[in-house]
Amino acid sequence: MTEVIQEYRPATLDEVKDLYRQAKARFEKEEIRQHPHVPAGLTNSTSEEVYAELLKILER
Amino acid sequence: MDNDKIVTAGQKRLFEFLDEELVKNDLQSKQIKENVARCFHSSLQKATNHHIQHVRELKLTEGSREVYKTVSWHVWFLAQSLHELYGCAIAGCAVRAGLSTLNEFLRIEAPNDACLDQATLRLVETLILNELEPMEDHGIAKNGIYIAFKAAKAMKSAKDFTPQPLQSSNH
Repeated sequence: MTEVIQEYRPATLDEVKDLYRQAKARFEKEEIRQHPHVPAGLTNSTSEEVYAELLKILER
Repeated sequence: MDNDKIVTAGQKRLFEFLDEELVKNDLQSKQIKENVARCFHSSLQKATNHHIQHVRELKLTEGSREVYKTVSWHVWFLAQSLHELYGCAIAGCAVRAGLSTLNEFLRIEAPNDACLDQATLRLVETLILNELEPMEDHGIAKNGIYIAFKAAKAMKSAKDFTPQPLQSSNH
């Protein structure tokens, strides 16, 4: 488990990248815990409009 | 789309709203800020772990990471850890900050500048705090927060909606 950041600020892009990298590595070799009900073709997505706003948030 | 940028910006906006809530409620002591910081980052870690498990277990195809999910889950874990330390006063700040973040994203993409009204936001906040108290039979948690905004985003005019039989989600 990574050491938790103690500073009063949001995480940086590099810190977020690290969290995902570590989480992927951690769970990669684990058995799937459960098989939940899930509709066919379920995807994740953020819309183009919201993505454009997110990029503005990152830049300010 | 850059998935890490989606998550980074989502939690940055959440942090900004959280800071505003803490100022508004005069919760600015050094100790509170230290604990909020620790809870904020450990909750992001928990939300990240949950995201990876979620994608694996639901066998999800990630077109892009979904900011409603990442923020909803982060808010839930944050409210949970702050509630353990301080009860509802500061957990409520986290919940309101999360709902403001999600509602802002909703307003950007919903037709006609639509978003959830104050009464509905207040209801969602109350349901989350009930879950923390714990009064789970009157509450919602991380997936409840997500689906409130996902459903609002997916609303269509009845004129544009062609009813189709629902597919079973059973394997």
